[in-house]
Amino acid sequence: MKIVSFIKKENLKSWLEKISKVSTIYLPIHDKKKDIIDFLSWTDFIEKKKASKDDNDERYEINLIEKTKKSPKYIFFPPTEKLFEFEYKKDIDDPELVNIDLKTSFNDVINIYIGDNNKKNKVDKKIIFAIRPCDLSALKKVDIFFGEGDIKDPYYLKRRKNTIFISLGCNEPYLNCFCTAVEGNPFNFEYADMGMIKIEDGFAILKLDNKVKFLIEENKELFENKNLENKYREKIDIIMTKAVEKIINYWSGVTIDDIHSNIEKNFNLDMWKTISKKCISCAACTYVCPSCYCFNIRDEQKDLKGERYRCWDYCMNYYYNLEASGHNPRSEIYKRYRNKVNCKYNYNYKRSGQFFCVGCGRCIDICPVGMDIRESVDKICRAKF
Amino acid sequence: MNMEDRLKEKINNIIDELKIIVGYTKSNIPLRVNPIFIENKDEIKNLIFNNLCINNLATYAYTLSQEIDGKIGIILKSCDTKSIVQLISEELINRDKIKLIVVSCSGVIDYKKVKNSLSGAEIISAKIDTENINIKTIDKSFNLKIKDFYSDKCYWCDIYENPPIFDEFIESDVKLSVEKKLKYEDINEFEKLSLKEIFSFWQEEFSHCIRCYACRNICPLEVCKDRCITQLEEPHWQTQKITANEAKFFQLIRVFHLAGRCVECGECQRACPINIPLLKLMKKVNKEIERLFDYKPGLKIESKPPLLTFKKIEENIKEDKIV
Repeated sequence: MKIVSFIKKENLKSWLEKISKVSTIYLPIHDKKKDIIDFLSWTDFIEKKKASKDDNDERYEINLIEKTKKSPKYIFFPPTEKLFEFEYKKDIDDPELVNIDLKTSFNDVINIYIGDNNKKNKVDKKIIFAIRPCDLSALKKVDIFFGEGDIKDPYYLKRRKNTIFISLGCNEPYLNCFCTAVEGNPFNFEYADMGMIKIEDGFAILKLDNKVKFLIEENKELFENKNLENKYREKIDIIMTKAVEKIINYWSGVTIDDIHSNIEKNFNLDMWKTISKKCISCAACTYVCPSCYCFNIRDEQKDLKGERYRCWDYCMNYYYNLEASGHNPRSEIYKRYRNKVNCKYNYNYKRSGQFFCVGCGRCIDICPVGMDIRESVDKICRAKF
Repeated sequence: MNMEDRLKEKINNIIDELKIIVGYTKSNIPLRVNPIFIENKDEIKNLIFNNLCINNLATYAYTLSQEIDGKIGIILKSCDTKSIVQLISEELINRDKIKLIVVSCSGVIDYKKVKNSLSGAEIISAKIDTENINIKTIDKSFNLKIKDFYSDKCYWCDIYENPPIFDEFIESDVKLSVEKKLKYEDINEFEKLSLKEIFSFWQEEFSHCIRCYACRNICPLEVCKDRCITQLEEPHWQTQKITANEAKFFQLIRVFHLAGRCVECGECQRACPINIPLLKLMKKVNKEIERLFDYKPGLKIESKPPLLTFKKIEENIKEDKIV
């Protein structure tokens, strides 16, 4: 990849400030008091910073180095989302007749996704800054679920439209990262509109799509464009090879084909019971996962008024599988865990030719009882049926 | 012979009478340990026990006793036995079905505290002995003292040498040496805040909550996981919306469910992916229960939790307006 441009560390903030004026920009913010790093919009960041001014040390800070606690999927697929409101209205003349009144922005939503861009429906530009390549490829997988196929999800697509991704390469992958094992790479800028890499005193831009060139051209004074190859090429190459070397190859000798075919073949293995024995079937792994997309839709009503909303759901949930008859096909934890692994490595692979795991390692970081999906997949793949 | 070897030997002697043994084993992640389920003799070598064993394995007691026909062995720290006492006193598990292998504890390390002290640097590897933790990050190595990183619960622990219940007892090589804190010292301090401050504190904490139910599912005493009223479909008591208010509401239900039952093992707080200080809520309720009913959970098998029984007249509750 050619080095297109370069921005110094000290100029980054003023650049972000400038582009935050033309569009909503989301970036990873470290809440030092709670020790949580998550994507926040620039306006929220400034507001929170102002509100916490009483604290002696700076509580909120931009953190581009560490992995965010939650994945950025919640910007497009929020934990809870109102779909529409409804109200039952009785007909005064004919008491047997009840009408339903729908209050919805649904038409706007539909118009946007079929591409009717009149002024009223214009979607603001969103910039997701410093998204990791693994998180971005996970979003592309969520896109497949919501945006491809016969039925498309207008709510998701509305949020997803007009989004610019500025991806930051992963110089120091974590111990629990395994993106290279699932066809990823810490410097995969394939899906990014702009790809950056951090070198000691600034950020080199390695990929720049035509549609985002304006972000640099409008702020030319902040960027360097001369003699970049000589200055930085060597350093970048070193960083890249070091990063890839750091990722532990957990599944050595197991090919991608082995994984999905063996998981399918070993569906009835007793080993599923032993590997999932310690699982407590909570939602922590699902809710931090960048590629999990399951949701539940409910109507909630008080008197004659109510709303329909959708919210995240998780497959380790007992109620996730409960059928109306009262029968639960996955009443035991091992069955639910088996389904989860199959969903990530087998079912979706058959459907779209991709693993729905990007190897970000969040589920391993967060699990209170130390479930390790690498270990589970490894054991199942190597088991003899 | 050190404690770990003595533990292994003991397990080796008793494994024939047990169907399964729950213990600790090493993890892929530095400073962490994993639960392990041992069913035959050649797995015993994987057992470990050290200051990193913070998990409360009593979490698995109820489910295993339901699933497995036969006797179950559980390796517990002294403080974890309180959970078992509570489970037995509530008749949730049968005393005859479990064998308690209790290890007297010399304090456990809170890995979140260690991580915070390194200001964000990732721990590549960690080694511990009886006094020190040696940690390597990408570019540095640290030598930390174990005594600075004890879990909060260790500062209030008074049963590390004399567990209320056990079948086999293994003494540790090192004695726990912490400066004891006054009971409910932290809660008394927190109560000094104004109501408004307390409210905004919790509002802020729960605004991060993702309702993953890790706190509920890891709790040894919450045996109602799959029948929880916050998730029931019919009747639909609580909405599934993931918002700060709903999260708070769920947590309050949980707190009241554990009032006078919680043994303050701190697993909920440890399991919380976003570090909500849940133990504060638990302790507050326990403090009130102790004041009203003079009851401490997890110490005697014979005593009943006050909210599971009733007296005609409660000494500490004045009901003159009602009577």
